Amino acid sequence: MEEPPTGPRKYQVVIGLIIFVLWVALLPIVNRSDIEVLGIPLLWFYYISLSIATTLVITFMYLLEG
Amino acid sequence: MRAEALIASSIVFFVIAMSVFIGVLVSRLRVKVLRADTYIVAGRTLGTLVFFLNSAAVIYSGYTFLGTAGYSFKYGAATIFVWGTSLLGYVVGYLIAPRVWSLAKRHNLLTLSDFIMWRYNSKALMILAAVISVVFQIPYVQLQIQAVSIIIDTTSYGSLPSLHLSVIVFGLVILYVFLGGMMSIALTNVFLGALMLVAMFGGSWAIILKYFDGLPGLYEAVSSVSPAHLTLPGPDGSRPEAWFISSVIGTGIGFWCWSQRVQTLFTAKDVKVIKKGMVLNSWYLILGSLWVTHMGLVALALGTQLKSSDYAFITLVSEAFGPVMLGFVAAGGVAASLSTAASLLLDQASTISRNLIQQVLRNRLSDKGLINLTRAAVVGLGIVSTILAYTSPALLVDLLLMGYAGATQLFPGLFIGIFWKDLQKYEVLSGLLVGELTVLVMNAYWGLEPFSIHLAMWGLAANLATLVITYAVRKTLRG
Repeated sequence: MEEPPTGPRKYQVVIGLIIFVLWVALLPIVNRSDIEVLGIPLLWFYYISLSIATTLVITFMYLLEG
Repeated sequence: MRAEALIASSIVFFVIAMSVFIGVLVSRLRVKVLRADTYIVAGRTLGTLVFFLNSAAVIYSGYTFLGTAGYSFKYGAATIFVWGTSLLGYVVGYLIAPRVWSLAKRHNLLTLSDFIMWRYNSKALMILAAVISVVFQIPYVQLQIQAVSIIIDTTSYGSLPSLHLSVIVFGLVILYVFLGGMMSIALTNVFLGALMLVAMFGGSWAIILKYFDGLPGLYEAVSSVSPAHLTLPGPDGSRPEAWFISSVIGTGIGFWCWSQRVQTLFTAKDVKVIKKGMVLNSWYLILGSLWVTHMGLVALALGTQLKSSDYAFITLVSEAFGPVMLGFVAAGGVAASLSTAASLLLDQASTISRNLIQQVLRNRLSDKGLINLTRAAVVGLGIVSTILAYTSPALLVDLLLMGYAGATQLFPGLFIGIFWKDLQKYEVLSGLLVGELTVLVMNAYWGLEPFSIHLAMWGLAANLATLVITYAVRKTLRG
C-alpha cells in the first residue's frame, strides 16, 4: 500500500482519544438531577459545554496546523 | 384547503421547486463533459463552501430534523448521544478522512467499496461491503420519504395526501440525480444546507425564547412535568448509562462507515478542504442540530398533543408562529430529507453499477456506459424505495439505529486497515461476516439495545475478536 503524507499527527490522535474519554468517562459523575449550573441541569450543561469544547478543539487543531 | 395550509404548503413546495430547478439547471450548465468521476464524485473539484454545505446536507437528514426532537420527547436526556455521534465523527473524520481522500484520489476510487477492493484486492470483500452499504441505506432512503410525508401532512394541516405527494417529490429528486449526478446534488445542497441551518437555529431558538425566555426556563418546566426526562435512564428507564456510553462510542466510530458519507469525502478538491469541512460541520451541529433536539422537551413541557413523537418540532412551530414560519421551518425539514435522499440514491446506484456489476462481471464499460448503468440503478432504487415507503413504514430513529449497527461493521476494514498494513482480506472478511451476523441475530432476539448496550458495539466486539483471532491463526500457519 502506498503511503500518502496525510495521516494524523501523534498529538492529534492523543487529543482525539481524550475527547472520546471525556464524552463517556464522566457520565456517572454528571448524570445527577440535584445539581444545576446557571439554571441548567448538570448533565445537559456538561454535554452542551463539551459539544462546544469539542468544536473549539477541532477548530484549533486546524488553525494550529497553519 | 384552509388558508393556513395553503400558505405553509406553498412555501414548502416553492423550496422543493427551487431545489429541482437548481439540480436540473446545474446538470445543463455545469456538467460540460460527463465523465464517471464527474457524475459520481463531482470530479473531485468542490471547494470549501460547497463541500461543507453539501456534506452537512448529506449528514443532517430528516432524522436530525424530526427524529431527534421525537427522541427527546420519548427518551429525554438519552437524545444527547446524537451530539456525540456527530462531533466524535468529526474528530475521527479530521484525523482519518484526509488519508482516505488522498488514497481515493490517487487510485481513482469512487465508492467505499472501491476503497475496500483497492485495499484488500478481494472481490468477495468488495461485494460484501457493497451489499452492506446498499442494504443498510434502503431504510435510510425510506426514512427521508417518510420525513417529507410528515412535513407535508403538517403543513397542509392534514388536507393533502402526504405520502403520495412525498413520493412525487422523491421522483423529482430522482430526476436531478439522474441528470446531473453529484454536481447537481452538491450545488442543490448548498441551497438546502444553508436553509436547514437557518431553519434549525431560527426555529428552535424562536420557540425556546417565546415560551421559556431561555434554556433555564425550559429545563425548569420539564423538571416540573417529568424530571426523569432530564437524566438517564430516562422516563421509561430504558436508556441507562451503559446504553449512552455504548451508543456514543459505537455511532461515533461508525459515523464515516456510511457509504454515502465516504463518497461525499471524495468530492473535495484537496485535503485542506476536507479538514475545513470537518471544522465547519462541527460548528453546524453547535448552531443547528443541538437545539432541535430540545424541541421534544419543549413539546413535553407545554403538553403539546402530537400525532407521533416525530411531529414535535414542526407541530410546535405551527402552534407558536402560524403558517408562514411553519412553512419556512418545514421547508428546512424537506431540505434535510431531499439532500440526504439524493446522495443516498447516487451512492447506492454507483455502488451497484460499479462494484456489483462492472467489477464483478469484469465488464470493461466506458465512462458513458458506467454513467448510464448508474442512472438506470438510480431509477430502479427509486422505485424500490417508493414501494417500501408504502408497504413498510416504521419509526424513524429505530430504522437509523439498526442501519448504524450494520454499517459500523465496516470500520475495521475501512479505517483500521489504512494504518495496520499487515491486515489482510482473510481477517477483515471473517470479522465483517461475524459482525453482521451478530447484529442480525441479536437484533432479532433482543432488539436494538441488547442488555442495554448499543447493537453496533456487540457487532463490533464480535467483529474485532474474529479479526484478531483470524489474524493470529494466519500468522501462526504461515509462521
